[in-house]
Amino acid sequence: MFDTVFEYLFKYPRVAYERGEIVWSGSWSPLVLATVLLLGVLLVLWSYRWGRARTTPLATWVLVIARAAGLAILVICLLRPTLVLSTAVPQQNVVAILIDDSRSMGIPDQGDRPRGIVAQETFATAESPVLGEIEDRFMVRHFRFSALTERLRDSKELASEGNRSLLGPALDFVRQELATLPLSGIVLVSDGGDQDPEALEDALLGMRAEGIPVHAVGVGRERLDPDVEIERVDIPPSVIQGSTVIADVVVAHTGLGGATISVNLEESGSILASEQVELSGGTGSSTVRIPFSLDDPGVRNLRVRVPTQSGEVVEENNFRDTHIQVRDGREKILYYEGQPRFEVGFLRQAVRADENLQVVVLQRTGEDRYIRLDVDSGDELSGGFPSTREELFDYRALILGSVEASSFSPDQLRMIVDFVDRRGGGLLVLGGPAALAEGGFAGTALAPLFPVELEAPRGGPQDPSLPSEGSQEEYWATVRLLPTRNGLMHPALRLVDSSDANEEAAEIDVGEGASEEGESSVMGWDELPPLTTVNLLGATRPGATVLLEGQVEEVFGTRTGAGFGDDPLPIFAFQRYGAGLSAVLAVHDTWLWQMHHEVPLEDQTHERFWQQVLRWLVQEVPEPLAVSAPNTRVAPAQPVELVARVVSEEYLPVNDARVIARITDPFGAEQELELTWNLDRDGEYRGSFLPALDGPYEVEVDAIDGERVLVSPPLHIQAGVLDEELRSGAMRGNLLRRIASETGGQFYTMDALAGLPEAMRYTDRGTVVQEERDLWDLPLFFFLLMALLFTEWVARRRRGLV
Amino acid sequence: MRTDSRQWNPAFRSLFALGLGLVCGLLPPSQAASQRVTIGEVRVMSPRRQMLPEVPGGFTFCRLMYQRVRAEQRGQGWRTDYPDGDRNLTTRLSQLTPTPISGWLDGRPGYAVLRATDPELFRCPFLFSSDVGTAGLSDEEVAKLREFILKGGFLWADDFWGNRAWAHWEHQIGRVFPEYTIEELPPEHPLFSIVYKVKEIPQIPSIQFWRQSGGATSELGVLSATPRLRAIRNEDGRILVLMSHNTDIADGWEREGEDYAFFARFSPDAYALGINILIWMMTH
Repeated sequence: MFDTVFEYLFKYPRVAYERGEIVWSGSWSPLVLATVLLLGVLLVLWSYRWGRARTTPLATWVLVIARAAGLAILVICLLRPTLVLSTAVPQQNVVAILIDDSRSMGIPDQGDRPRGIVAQETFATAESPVLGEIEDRFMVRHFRFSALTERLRDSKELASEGNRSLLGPALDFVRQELATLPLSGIVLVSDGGDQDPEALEDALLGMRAEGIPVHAVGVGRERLDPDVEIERVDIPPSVIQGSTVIADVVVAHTGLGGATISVNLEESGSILASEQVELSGGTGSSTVRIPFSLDDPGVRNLRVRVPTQSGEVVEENNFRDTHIQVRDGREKILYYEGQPRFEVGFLRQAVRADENLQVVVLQRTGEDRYIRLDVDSGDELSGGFPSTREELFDYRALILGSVEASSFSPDQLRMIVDFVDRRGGGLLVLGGPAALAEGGFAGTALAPLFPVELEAPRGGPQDPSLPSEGSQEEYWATVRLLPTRNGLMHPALRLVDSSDANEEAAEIDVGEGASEEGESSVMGWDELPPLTTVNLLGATRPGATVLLEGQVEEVFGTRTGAGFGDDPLPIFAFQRYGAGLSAVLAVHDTWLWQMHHEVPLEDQTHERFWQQVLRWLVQEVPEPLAVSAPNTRVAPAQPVELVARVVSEEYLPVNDARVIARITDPFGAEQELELTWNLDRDGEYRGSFLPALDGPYEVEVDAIDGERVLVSPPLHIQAGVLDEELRSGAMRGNLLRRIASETGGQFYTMDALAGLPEAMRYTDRGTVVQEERDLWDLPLFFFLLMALLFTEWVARRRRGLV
Repeated sequence: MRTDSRQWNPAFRSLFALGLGLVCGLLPPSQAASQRVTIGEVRVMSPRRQMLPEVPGGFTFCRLMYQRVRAEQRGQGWRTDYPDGDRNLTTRLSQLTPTPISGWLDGRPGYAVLRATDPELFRCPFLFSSDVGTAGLSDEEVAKLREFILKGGFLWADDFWGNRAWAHWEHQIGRVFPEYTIEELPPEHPLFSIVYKVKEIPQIPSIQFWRQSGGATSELGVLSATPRLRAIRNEDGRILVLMSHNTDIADGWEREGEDYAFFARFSPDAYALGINILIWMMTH
């Protein structure tokens, strides 16, 4: 509508003004005309002053301005404004019509007809009026594209079967293919699906550099209503068997606000876990966390799915596939306890049944006297706490019990920092009389690791506000531990598998109900007996997450004035530090969750808690040689990028290793690929291969570093048809608008294509001529002049001047 | 409550204990350690420290209070070696190892006396019992003891001599764990060397017997000639109940300050084994 009115008033379409340049072509001198205009205005002013007795000052000014404006329009017309345009010479230039032939073009949202059919009829059949107009002016070359781009010989070749849309390579292909011809522009007919944004950016740069306008024609609806889509699924690449894993799922929707839908996690068609999510707003996305666990080791192919909603056009985006490596084996954890206490025995008992955890205990029993439990060899820890990084880095997690800072050498403290920061290990510091601030850790190299600030121990010499008598042991608090909102959804605190049940566990005992579903009995969080803390923690650090808070129930001791307040205490908190994570659990009698008389004998809360916490602690600890791929699911003809990271025994990057990837294809055939050091990043090696077959590929990497031979855990790649093409079923109008605007083209939709052939004429590309088009006879000027004269006439008539 | 046919009348038993205690001079020495309870016209001593120590945060030595249903020579039922044995071992544990111990606000180390039916028992995973050859456990006590131990608690039975006492205790503990057998703890078991090397199980008599006998150690002569350390273990190998038979390990702790010769001969071994057992129990 706007464009129609514009073209009526200004004679030419808007694009002509955008492309062209306005110049003054009149033979009159502008100076003369300006003088005439000035004199005219003065004359008008004088004439109305002469007759002022019958007018008011306001009316006089209206008359003067109306008359002066009319004169100004006449002067402008006398200056003869001209639009200078560069237009393509008919049949001397080429236009490329690039039609999307990917699967998403099969979505039937053009009325009830598939996008591809409508695009084909409009741009690739002789009967099309739009195509006819274009062909009147240009030589047309048709192309089709999906993952590959090729010339379109016959419109029947368009089948909407391509598995990927690669806009960038398609534009590049056309540009290079027609490089020797006078290319006036490209008509891109697509729904805007693109799976390679980087390549598109490069292609747009090339288009801009050569001044090739891309006129984008969006096919399909920008808003598919209703529609629900699994937009993203995040799960860790590997997990210890039996561990609870959280799948973070982003569910996007259009037109389903207020609906509650089930999000299912499936394996081979059977549902492993399910969560409900309430969709909010007219359009938007919601995140749902699905806890689940897998017992059998190996690669497990999973699918997250939402049921098809009534009226949905695109069902293919209702699921998303992913996979996870379930690993077997024992994760070795060092628990260093400075003071014999029940926590040691009960913790060991709690994880005894967990075959994937090996808790090696170093229990100090005196000055330089230790007992070692569950060690692998007689030499292990024979000298007490590890004195070298190699020795410490052999473990994947470290638990520090009630052991004072002074028992470590400065280098050992730095080693622990490196263990977390560089090695990527998990550190868990337990509460106790000799732990944290009470153990003198404030101000040590270890202090920054803690997710909370350490306060000076109350009652100690650091607190001058307190009387000098008494000892540090004379204060403590009993606290009831309750999960924070973050804690409820955290894998370390998954006492039951369902998130709803876990939330219920925060309020009520779900033991009976859980048992009915085959789960172990667990207590509700608020029914668990309170525990004891002697460690007052300060503020949590920025970036730290509190998982358990302690509601203070009783405070004991003679130093209550400097003791615990009414606010919940941070008891279990963690933060990421470097490559690893560091956590604090500031109580020292979790064994009460096993022993307390109110806890049933068969209750599994204590066992579950420790197994989950320790599994979480080691879950993402990196290996000395790790291999990864930015894309572990690739489409046919899509290369797989491999990235290997090699570190020394001290976890320092190694740049001179020989790194070989052994790639096993779906039929078991093996090929080798040497990865080369990436000069930009220490310790990183890269390489790529092209899967020739559809199916699962397994990649193992060997690294030879001097006498060390490292073997990576296997990486699994799934090659084959992806459903990415149908992920975002809606037409991506914004992307197409950007392509058009960045290249100097225009954006059109299928139902508003009338201006396209005309717009394509105005181009600087190809064989063009300069056209000069008069603007003095614009209807706009005429209407303005008439309006001004009419205004003046009405005003004069009212005042009796006519 | 089911009563064992061999149980004595409680009033008579208390009276007997009082008399024996008065004769032997073994009653708790002060009000601080005991309070008086009137039974008929006779006042008997009852342990004061039935609650757990006020200052938590460390090891607590808990002693099992039970009904005495038969008599043993020189035995005083649950209170045998109490409280000095308990106090001394707790103190030595904190001195010889870095083990933190609980305590009372009056400064005494953390030891307490609990019945098997006390809820507080479940806050004290270590339970010691003396003169168990005289113990009579009610059905409720049997059930609670079983629950306590299966949850992770540990029971050490000490100071019972000869076959009759053994048979009695075997019957009582058999009611708690009918499914498990009692086995001899072999000398190579790591418990004997976890902190201190204990080459053999020491036979420690009561100091009275030792003095009266001129240095003998077997209180029942040939009937108790060999000290033994026996255990009940579960399927995982965890020691649930430990039994030191034909020896009075706790006397080695209790009497450390009374006679230097007795101390020199018996206390080091008693402490070594005691600390080994405590550390073992806390770490396993």
